[in-house]
Amino acid sequence: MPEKLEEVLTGERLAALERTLDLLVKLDEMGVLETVGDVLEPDTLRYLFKYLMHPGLLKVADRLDVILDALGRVDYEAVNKNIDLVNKALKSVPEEAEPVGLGGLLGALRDPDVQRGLGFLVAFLKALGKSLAEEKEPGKA
Amino acid sequence: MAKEKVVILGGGGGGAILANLLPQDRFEVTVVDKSEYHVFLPGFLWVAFKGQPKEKFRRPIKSLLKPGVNFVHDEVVGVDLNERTVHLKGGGKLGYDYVVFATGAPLDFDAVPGHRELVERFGDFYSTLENAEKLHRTLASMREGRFVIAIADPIYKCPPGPHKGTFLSYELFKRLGVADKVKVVLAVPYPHVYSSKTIADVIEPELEARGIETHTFFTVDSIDLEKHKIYSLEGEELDFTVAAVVAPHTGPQYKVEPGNVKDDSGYIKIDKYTSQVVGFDDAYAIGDCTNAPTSKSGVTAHLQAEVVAKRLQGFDARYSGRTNCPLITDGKGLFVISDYDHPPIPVRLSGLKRFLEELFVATYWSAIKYPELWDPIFEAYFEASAPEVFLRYGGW
Repeated sequence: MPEKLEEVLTGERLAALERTLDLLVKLDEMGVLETVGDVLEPDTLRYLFKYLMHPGLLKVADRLDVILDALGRVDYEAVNKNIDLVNKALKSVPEEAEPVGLGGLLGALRDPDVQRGLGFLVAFLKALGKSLAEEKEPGKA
Repeated sequence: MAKEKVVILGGGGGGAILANLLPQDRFEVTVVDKSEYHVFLPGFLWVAFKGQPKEKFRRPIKSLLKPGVNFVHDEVVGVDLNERTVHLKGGGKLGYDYVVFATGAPLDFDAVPGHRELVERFGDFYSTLENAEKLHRTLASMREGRFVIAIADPIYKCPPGPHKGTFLSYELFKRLGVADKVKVVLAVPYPHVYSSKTIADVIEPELEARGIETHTFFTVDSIDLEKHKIYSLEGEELDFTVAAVVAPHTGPQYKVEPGNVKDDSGYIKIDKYTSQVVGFDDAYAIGDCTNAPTSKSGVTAHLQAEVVAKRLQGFDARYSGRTNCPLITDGKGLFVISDYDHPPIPVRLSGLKRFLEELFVATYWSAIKYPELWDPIFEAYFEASAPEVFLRYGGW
């Protein structure tokens, strides 16, 4: 172990120390050091980590590669174009929708809004079916 | 009020954490260890298979204990629980108000004929840093043949250790450019490649994908170094060029009075929840030296140390039997998560868990020295990842 300060403070270390001290002064002037000191209490850390370590978050973090891969392939323009439509429709759905039988369905089909929604769904189903066929036999759909 | 005297036998993971957790205004804490050094046992894998310097995984015990904790460098030769006295090899005696056994599980190299000679020739990754270093030199010079990892007793510390050694040795041979000439072989005493079928089902395809040869129901009985053969209790034999065998473990070798606090294998009998030595309210045992029906692992020792620290302060605390044993391949990892009420839950190999294992190894010394920083993190982690919680999420 070096005993004298000049043995410890080589030129490189002195330069690094000066930069560190400058940084510390800056952090102190901004109140960061005092705040960090106040925050670093066992109970603050306990509640912070309890909040962060949610099992759902651990599960998501574990699959971050899979999730990012999926998110990277999302067509955000298409999502952006339709998201308001979907949000509005979801909000309008009553909390407890009435059950509908075959007779009720035929009656509902006379409603122009249902007809428009069905048109959207049929177009969506057609596109979905086409994608499924392409996935099964590429180039044949 | 006079401070209560706590004598902790062993300065390994459990002993050192417990010593650092006890408030010094209430307790006079003394740690006794025959070694001056604390060795991070999972580091053997890093030395043996990654060639990392052994100094990284060894620190003076004194440097890990908080100022004010006494350290006695001497070997325990006897503990008299009736007289509340610890007898030391140097002739000294220590009286106590509370004693905590944390001396680990020594390895018995004489239980399997030929084992001592095998370790002397090749080294291993379970006994000492020096032997781990020797195994690295042995493996680094292999250009062809069979490297066999086998187990002599189904109860051993760090249950995924042999599997980690298997994957890491494959990685080493790949780096050396001889993975196609050196066959890695794993032989285990259980019916599947891991004692839990849930975990075995996850790692089996990984072993297969690397061309690693596996043998089940293979409990090492004897080793013939001249013929380069390992024989099993089940009547099978395996050829090897180099082999590393996990030795049977034993309970503490020193005398404990009354003798009936040790079980037939020599382990200290404890209440599995409180860690209290059966029949004594002033004696506890934590980590590998106990008969607790859970994995012999660092996590067990750590969590039991926290329970004992709380109980000595008058709080009610119980150890759930929680395990969190990491099993790593060359690029991914998983944790074997279980407790007394749940067998290992379904888990997947992932990059995050591999990173967490690396992070755990890197921060080990800090976790021993500064439990006040790490305990809130560990507490939150163990709560969030408890088996009954993750089972609701379909595993992890």
